[in-house]
Amino acid sequence: MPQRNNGLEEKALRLIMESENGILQCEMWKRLGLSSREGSRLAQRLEEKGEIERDRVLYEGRWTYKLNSKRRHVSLTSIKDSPCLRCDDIDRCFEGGERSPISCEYLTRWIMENSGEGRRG
Amino acid sequence: MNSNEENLLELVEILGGEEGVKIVKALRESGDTTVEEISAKTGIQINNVRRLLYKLYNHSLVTSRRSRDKDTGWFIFQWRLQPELVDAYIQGVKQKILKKLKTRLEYEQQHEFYHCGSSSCPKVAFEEAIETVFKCPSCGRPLNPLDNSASIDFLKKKIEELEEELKV
Repeated sequence: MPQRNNGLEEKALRLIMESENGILQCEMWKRLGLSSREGSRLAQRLEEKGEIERDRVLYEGRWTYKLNSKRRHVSLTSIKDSPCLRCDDIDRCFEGGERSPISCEYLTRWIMENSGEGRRG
Repeated sequence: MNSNEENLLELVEILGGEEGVKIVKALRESGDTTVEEISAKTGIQINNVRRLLYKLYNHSLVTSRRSRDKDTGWFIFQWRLQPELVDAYIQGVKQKILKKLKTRLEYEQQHEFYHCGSSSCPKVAFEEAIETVFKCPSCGRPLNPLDNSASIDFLKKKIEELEEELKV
């Protein structure tokens, strides 16, 4: 049942990504309603796929793993106000093209507003 | 709401405004849904729902499934969200924007600029300023040299920020 597994992997990844300093493997399988064995195999699969890192740690006298996501949190913040994000011509815009980042008035205005160019005389 | 869904809603608001957000919320609640059902649920006109869905489809934020109505023989399109592709979409757009900013930075570094001082007029590169005898091509006022170092600094900073975010 690959689809079920992929869904579970995605859920586990989300859980791991949402925990700022990583999550204990035992915490992960408990929260996903899995058994210890299922949780361990799931974490191993994610590690093999290069999605997470597993560090062996001692927790309440028992060895377990701390799971950390290798995926970085993707945020819109850095491009949120960029005119290119809203532009329908983004794929037709290149130097010498129908639209160009050199002459685009929206891009020029955005740069000027954010840099303060022109206001300094 | 997880970070994927937060990003999706933020993105849809930018691309499709308030109506786009209403459509996405309706899709999130119902799963596979037809245009007519979305329209009934959101109160947005059918043609606007369709237009916005196609826009979101072009950005891979929604997908559709086609089936045939047994009675009429017509095709039925059912739409659903693709929140799992949002992060990949954002990273892809960042790559495109980064490329454009690098092109622009190179241009800013290699040219001298002139400006008439009016905020509604564009700045003019030296080559174009010569052609207009140092008069603004938009308003006709005299052009003065423009220090574009602030633009260069801003572009460098933005490029660095995007490169850092795109690092694997």
